[in-house]
Amino acid sequence: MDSVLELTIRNELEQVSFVAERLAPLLETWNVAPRTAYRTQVVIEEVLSNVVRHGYPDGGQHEISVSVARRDEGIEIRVRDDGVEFDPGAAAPVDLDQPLGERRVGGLGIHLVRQFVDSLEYRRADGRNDLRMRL
Amino acid sequence: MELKVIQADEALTHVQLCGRLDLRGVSGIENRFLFTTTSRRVPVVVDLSEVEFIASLGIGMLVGAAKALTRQGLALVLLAPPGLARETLEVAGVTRVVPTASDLESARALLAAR
Repeated sequence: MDSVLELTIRNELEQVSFVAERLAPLLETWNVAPRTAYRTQVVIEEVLSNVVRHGYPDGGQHEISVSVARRDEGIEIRVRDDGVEFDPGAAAPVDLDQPLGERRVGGLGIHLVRQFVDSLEYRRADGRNDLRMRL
Repeated sequence: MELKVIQADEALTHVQLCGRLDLRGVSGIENRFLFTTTSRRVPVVVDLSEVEFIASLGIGMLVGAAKALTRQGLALVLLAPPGLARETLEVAGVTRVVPTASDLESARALLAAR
């Protein structure tokens, strides 16, 4: 049986934490395997915080739509926002071979997303980013 | 998120992080964590055994402390991250550049070898 969490949040980091707090107990209720549940929470935090931090350089209040669905075949995540165009699948890879002193933390969140999802589909339509991921 | 100071003397700083190293958790302890680990000019052990969750912001905090200590000629060892947190640290490439130990004795041995 499908179970779905659908929320619309403002582009504020506190709202990302709000989603995380709603999601964690639901994943347990949905009997999602621990590794998938953990990875789902990482992906949600990274994608949403990336939109909030980098999506609106001009500021202003915006809405971000997020849905997390438990399907028979796994977890489906969809995030839609009207921020600057950004395809996480096309972002430059992180160089994990850099020594500690030269290591940059930027881009690590998107790296985790790409490693943790089984599929990632991005499209830009009507001035909005539309990101779908499966785990 | 809680930061416990287990040991802070002339030989070692040993702290333990408990809870979720997510957006909210990191914002609550980051300044105190960085001050506690990098201002005393001694090697550091960070016990992660009670960390339930870690994302990139938490990873950035740990790597930031390790980098600051490296600039002082000192080392930081991560101690006993639980399974899924350890997996996340591995995927992020952290365990390639920050030594990780399964117990305190091994952590002390890693610090002594540096």
